[in-house]
Amino acid sequence: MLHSKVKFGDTIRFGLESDGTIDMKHNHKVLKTIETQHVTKIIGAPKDITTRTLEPLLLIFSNKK
Amino acid sequence: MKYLLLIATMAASTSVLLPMKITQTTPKIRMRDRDLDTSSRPFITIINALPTEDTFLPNKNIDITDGKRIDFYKNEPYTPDYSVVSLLAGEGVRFSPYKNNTLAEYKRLGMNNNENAALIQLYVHAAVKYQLMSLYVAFKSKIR
Repeated sequence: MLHSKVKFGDTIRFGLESDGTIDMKHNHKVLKTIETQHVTKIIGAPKDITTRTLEPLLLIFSNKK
Repeated sequence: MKYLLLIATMAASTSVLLPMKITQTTPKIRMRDRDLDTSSRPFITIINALPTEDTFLPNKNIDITDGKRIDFYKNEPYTPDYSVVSLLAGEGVRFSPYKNNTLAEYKRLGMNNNENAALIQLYVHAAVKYQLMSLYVAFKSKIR
């Protein structure tokens, strides 16, 4: 079971990272990395275009005490 | 002498690049408040800090709701309703979640019955998959 670290009064900030993903940050820590349609080009790789696949992070929390 | 020149060139290039990087990652945010009449009400701030200039992202909007559940739309395309706040790039919202008394606690978004936690949903248009996220906001202490 996950803890809800997000409290009232806190700030959630969505920012674009250099690798083309969107990071959802809380207190400067990444809560979730969101895959976008950005394609990263890698020079020297066998295939010069690759896509990122990231596992989703569960953000649904239970309210049981 | 070659090495000195190389170091000087590298230092010059980093000094040029650093301000560009800082300006890219810290866009100017335009804040707006929703239903925040008093500072005593619990609130949360959501900021869409995606760059405002044209990038590869087709739609940089982030929708936030504490009303109707977005996952209600299973067989039809998602269309935002009155409770949705749509944040453009470079915008933020500070709001106090609603308490909807007409629906049972487990069926609704917004404040819970005790008013010490809230469930909000976020819809990130730029995401390829898992565009919809549910975020649980608690009061003070961590809740399991």
